[in-house]
Amino acid sequence: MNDIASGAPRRVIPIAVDTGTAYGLPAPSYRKDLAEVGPGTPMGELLRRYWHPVGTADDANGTPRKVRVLGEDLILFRDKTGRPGLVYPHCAHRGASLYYGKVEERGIRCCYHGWLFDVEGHCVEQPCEPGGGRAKDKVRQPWYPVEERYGLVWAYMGPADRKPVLPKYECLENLDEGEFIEADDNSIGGGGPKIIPCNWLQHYENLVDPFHVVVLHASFSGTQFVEQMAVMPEVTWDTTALSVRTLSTRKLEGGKTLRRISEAGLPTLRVIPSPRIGRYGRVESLGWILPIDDHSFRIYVVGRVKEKGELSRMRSRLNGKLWEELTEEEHRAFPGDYEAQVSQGAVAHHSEEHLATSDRGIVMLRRLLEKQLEAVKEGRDPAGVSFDPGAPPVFFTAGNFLEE
Amino acid sequence: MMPGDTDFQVRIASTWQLVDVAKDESVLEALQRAGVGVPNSCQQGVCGTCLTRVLEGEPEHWDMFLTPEEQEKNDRFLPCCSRSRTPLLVLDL
Repeated sequence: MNDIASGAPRRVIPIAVDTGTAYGLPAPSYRKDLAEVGPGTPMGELLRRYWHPVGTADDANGTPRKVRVLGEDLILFRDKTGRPGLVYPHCAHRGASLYYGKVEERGIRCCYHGWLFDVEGHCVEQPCEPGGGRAKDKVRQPWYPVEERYGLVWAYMGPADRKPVLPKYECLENLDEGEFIEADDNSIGGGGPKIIPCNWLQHYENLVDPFHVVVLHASFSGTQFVEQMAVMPEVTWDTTALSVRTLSTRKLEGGKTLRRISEAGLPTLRVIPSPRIGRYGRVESLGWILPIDDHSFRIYVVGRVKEKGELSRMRSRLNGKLWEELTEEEHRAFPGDYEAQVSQGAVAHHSEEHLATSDRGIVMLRRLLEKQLEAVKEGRDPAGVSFDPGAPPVFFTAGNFLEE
Repeated sequence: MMPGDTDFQVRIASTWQLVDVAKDESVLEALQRAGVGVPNSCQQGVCGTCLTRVLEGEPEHWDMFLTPEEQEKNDRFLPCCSRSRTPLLVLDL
């Protein structure tokens, strides 16, 4: 017999109203002004005021190579006199891709009708035209200026009258005894494969987040770097003319103090002393985050080394395995930077984030970027561009310093 | 959330509405109570989402978002955590 039939008062169980459910969650949005890198976007225009690495010196060779930079598809090659070139892929004649072109002494020749362009896009031959092309001087294949330094090819993709000098860096110019410069294109520091499928800003902001080191890299997934990194640091940040700097101080066993200064430099620089602390002292390598487009990036690194291949050995390994050698189950159980950052989304959902006190560096970095966006918008030059070929190399204070 | 030592008032410049801010509440909470929503996120002076222009009065800055130089200008403040040195702040809302 149930309650109703018995005439007993019906029991009413009060239903608690749930709060904070995902129902009705607005569609996420992101900071377009900071994240998007294509031509004409605010950040795209800011980034185009600086030089960016577009390949290793070896990548520029006799075989045309497709590169994608800041959302633009381009062809990188090196003519037979040794000059690197970077051109728009579609031939100025009828639009066939110069990817199928042939590299010659004087430049790159289109496969379709044989027009030949030099590294600055001048059309130097039109074999199907009378007299080798009487009007060929009127045609220009769109191109970008490139220069080589530190084993990389650098491109300037901005307004021609604002082209700065390609910077030199103190930590790569002044070598200690027995050191030489090595370049690497394996996205060291990205914690994953060569090309990382998320927005570049996610990685850039991670540079000023010293607290994730303690969790993600030192406890959650075991010791990914070294034991010292598991000690919760005292952290302060400051903004310099060229970077947001993080000072993490750790009291180590035995009474010594580890002072670690790392920087996120304008516009895309990783100024990160090795987290494995192979040696103490000034930062030994620099990394450039190259936004391929809004949804992928890669990292080029140049460092002072004493042995060939030293840089590539800096790549993260788990149980001796590189990221691409790990199983899905291992990725799930031992996440690193790649898993954390790529899972934020193709572009992180800025509208859904809740910044806290440990994110102060991220807010400072966004503000530093906003200031540069403003400068460009107002017709000024952003911080860190120099038009003086005699300017001293750029100096960073980053390093791992052990104090008694 | 971010209580202070004293009560003060803020005025909404667009409507001339006067809002009391009690010792035990933030400006942001007082505004919300008065039906004036200001976008906000961290509610502890870090993210800068609630940054609001100050037209009159002198704020007491408790945030970590503005630089010391920006704080000295007293033309903007973060209502989630900052207070007032004057009995009234007029806000550009």
